[in-house]
Amino acid sequence: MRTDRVRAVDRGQARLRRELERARGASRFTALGRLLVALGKPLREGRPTDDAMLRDLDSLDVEGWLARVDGRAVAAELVLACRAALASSIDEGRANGVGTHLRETRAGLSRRDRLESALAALERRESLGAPLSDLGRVALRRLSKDLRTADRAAHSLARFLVGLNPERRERRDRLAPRWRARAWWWTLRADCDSLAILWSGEGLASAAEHCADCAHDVAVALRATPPRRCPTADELWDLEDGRLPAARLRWIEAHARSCEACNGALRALAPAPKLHDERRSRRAGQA
Amino acid sequence: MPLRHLHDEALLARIDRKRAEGLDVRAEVGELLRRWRPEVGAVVGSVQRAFGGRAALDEDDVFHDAVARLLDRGLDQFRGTSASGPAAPLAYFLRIVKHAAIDRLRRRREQPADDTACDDPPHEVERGLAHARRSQEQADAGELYWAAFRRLEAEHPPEAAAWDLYRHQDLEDHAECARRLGISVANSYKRISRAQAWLRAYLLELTDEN
Repeated sequence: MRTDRVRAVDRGQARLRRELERARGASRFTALGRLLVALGKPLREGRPTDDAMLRDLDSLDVEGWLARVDGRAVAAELVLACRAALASSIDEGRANGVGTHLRETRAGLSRRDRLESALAALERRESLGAPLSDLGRVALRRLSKDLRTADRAAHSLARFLVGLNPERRERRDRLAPRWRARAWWWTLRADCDSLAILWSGEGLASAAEHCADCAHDVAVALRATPPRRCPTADELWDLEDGRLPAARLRWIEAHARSCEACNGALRALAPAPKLHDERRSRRAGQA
Repeated sequence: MPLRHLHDEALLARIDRKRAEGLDVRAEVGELLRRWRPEVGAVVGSVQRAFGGRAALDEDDVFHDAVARLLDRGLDQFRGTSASGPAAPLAYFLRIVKHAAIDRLRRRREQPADDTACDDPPHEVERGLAHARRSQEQADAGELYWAAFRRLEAEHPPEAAAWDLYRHQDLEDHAECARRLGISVANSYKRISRAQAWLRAYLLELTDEN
């Protein structure tokens, strides 16, 4: 069974290699990208790849491909994919929208994952003694940096993906251990299924029991109710200046109906008779 | 020219100039406060009346609070601003007085025993510090909540409108919420549920950013 799969992968790689040989112009870089993904994917899954094919790739082609990959765009697409996953979880039950959100999510995750496979292939190629030129190395460093910068938001974004956890676990389990941490879009919070309750309803207590991250998230989520507290001194300044958000102002006005101290504060801040202006004018006249 | 012959604006200009040269401005500030002190009583009185006039405020205490706050906020803000643009120095100072008086009266309602007195036993001071920390934490949580709600208003206006009615205006009745928004009761439930979920997501993101 495993041998059949390896043979199928080999056949796929060989077919992509032929496509690359035939391709001309910009489509050559597309074909190279697909081949790199096909060569890197087995490596990430802990299987051998066609090292000879990797080593024989034209360095100029590889450098051209690297120069064309927009790491920031791929990272931005991944962020949108995570947000689309959240929208899908929240909009569940709506007649339209969910399907679109899920398509967007899967496309963004897949694109980022494919790029990771291509990078794995390039790492392997370099270890085989086929180094990039200085220009190629600069392009590779820039691409890696763009991707890692975006990965800093991983912790924040991964919780939006918990609605897809069954398929994320499947993808995670295919990866060799050393590649799992980098593929956070499959691995991070992949076991936190109960966290999905944050986006779909009540009963947060059970979600909090899963792990420390879930407990933290639930604690923060519980603050999603209007704070039952009197306005601060700074807020009263903002209120008087007309800088308080309208919703907060409405809330304070409603709160003041049952809070004697805030009621007094609002009365004290209400536009007063022109007493001070008149005194000031008198003083100015005297000066 | 003697300080007492300069009007407020001229004194302020002098303060600005001397501060730029690194000179002592205490005499000028003292002159301004001497002039403004007689105006404090009227402001304190009007705040007391707004609070029902039952609790007496010590004018001197409020004046000292206001001066401390003025110096604390820094003389750079001395001119102050209001919604209608730059405020006159006296008007700005009297606003500080008004807010200092409001703070004192609110604190008094909140803490019947004045725990700011210097001769408080240590445990009272600790209680005061703990109270201040709690207040700060509550203020931070409140700021995050309102930042999250502003994002909800920008990105999901129908959900924000429903949430505002239901939770901020304490309607807490889906039938009435639906009637006011012109939607079905089922839709009101859904909008509130979605609003809560989005708020949770925004709060988590904002907390991470902080």
